[in-house]
Amino acid sequence: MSAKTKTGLNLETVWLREYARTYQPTEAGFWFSPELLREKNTTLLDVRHAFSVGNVMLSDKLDGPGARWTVIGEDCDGRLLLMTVIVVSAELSVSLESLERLVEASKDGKNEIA
Amino acid sequence: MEKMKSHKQKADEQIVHEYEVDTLGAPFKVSIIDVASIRIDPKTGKKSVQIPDLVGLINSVVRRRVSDKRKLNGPELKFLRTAIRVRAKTLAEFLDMSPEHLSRCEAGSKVMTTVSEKLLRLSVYLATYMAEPQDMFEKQVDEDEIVKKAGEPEDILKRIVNRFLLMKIQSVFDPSVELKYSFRRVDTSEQWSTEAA
Repeated sequence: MSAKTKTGLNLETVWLREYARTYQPTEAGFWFSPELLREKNTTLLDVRHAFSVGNVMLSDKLDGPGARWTVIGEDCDGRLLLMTVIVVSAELSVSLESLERLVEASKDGKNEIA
Repeated sequence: MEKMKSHKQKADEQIVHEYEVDTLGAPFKVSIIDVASIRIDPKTGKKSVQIPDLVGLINSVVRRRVSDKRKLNGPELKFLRTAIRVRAKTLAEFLDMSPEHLSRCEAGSKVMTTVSEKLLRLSVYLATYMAEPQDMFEKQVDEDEIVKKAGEPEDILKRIVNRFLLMKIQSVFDPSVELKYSFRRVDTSEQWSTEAA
């Protein structure tokens, strides 16, 4: 159960983009489920790309440390990913909780909702 | 390929001796030594993996591959480009080739010339040291930024000459010899370093 939900998340978006683009050595940890990535035919490169160009749409403050963010961003091929991540910013910790592809190319080349 | 170490990091986490990062998106094998943590959710039984400094790892993998003499194949070209988050059109313009040609090279139906490949390797290598890698291909590069991150100017020059300009790209090789790179964290500098696979 969340303590507080908020939207309009510029600060969170900036934080996530910086997390994904830093080129300096860091101990920031990233948790993910390899099975989830395989199941969704997605790679860590796709997730990192989606973080670096995406937007945090929703934030639920957790009762414990951290918050659950809902993120929408494009993978390396420009396809939209919808993700939820648990972020503990004080620990620079990000856990990928869920991932869905929002749009997939249909056989006739048009995009359709997956 | 996971060999558990005996010690635990946290109560429900275990450090894996060698973890093969097969979800990275690299078209060759990448493993990390003594840094990946694994935990199993007691309710769902699902396995989660933690990689420290994912972006640093991606950059190290890129630098390692472009420093390897083996000719880059199509999937590797695409991996390098996406790893540094540069659009195909931008990179094609930088390499003075059409986006269609680059696309065919990435698809494996065309082969990139040795000169273009050397330029690509060098520029991709340098781009991993930049906050905005696409600046490398679109704007004037901030020399101070590269020097700050990549080391002393003389070191950079030596690396550029030895690794890229003098590189004899290996176009003929035994394809059965698999490319595999292993990485471990260097405690002192908190960076990734490679070791012989």
